[in-house]
Amino acid sequence: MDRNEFKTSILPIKNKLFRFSLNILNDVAEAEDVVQEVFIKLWNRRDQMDQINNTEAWCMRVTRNLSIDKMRSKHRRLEPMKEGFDLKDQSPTPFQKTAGSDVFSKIKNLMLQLPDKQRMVMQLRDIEGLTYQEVADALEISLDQVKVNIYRARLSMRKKLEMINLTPKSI
Amino acid sequence: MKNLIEKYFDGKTSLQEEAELRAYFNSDQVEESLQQYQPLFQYFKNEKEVQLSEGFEAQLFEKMEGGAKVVKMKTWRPNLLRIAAVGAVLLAAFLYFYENKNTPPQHAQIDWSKYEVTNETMALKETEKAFEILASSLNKGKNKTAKELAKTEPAAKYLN
Repeated sequence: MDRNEFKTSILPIKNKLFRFSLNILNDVAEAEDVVQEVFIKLWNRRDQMDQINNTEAWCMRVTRNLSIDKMRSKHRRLEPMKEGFDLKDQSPTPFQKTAGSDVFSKIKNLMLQLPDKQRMVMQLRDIEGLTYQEVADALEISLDQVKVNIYRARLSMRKKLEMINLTPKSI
Repeated sequence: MKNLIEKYFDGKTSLQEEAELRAYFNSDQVEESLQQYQPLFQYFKNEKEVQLSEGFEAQLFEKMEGGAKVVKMKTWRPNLLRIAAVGAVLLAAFLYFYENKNTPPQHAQIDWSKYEVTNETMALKETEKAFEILASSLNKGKNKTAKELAKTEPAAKYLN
């Protein structure tokens, strides 16, 4: 694979990977670092591309793993990990604090309250528009688990939305 | 649309139906009873527009062409230090034991005959020396006791 091929076939998924990482890390700079690391990893093994079945799914998996590693090391630096620790950083960022009244911030906070797997499945399906099979490949879980998690995530979001009854954004 | 939203929350919609829902909820014709779900679909659309910063691509190619490999310096530095510290301790311990093992024990030869008392004058001198040392120690104790007693004198006045 040369630079041009890399540019046309791999780079178009950069924003998808970025959003996926951002959803886990909740930190723009760190999510950018992750995407860069994923692409460099792929570039360094460009001679063994035939060993990678589905490049996009591979990139998604590596993005997920690197983001989780980063999140773990971030928590390790701050405090020791607890048993069954939930990976997401639930504390609102300074931006979220100041823009707390914004409808999107509220939805984002509701999503951050979902368990990791449900949140990731919802992100990949409802935002990125991946098929259930693609979600399963990216997260290395079964198709049934994808379906169960998307059902639970949507149900949870529905209950919360009905409870707080937000005013929609004006179109 | 009501049926479709129920199907969506049951996790039974296809990608195409979900696209229809997104389009509907991002229009200005959402019926009132469904407006409570509108922010969710607006959020999905908004999130999909999030993009990497403009300089990302240039920075990436610069690293790729420089043959940069991702090296985690932060995690390696403390490990190297730890390894070096353990090595230094082991080396010091080895040298210490090696030295002790290979050096034969040394015994000093003392000629005690030089210190032996051979005549009466010398014996008297040595005895006097010993008494002098003893006496100076005794005096020290006596003087100290006298000093300490003197300190109690002001207090003794009140007792009387």
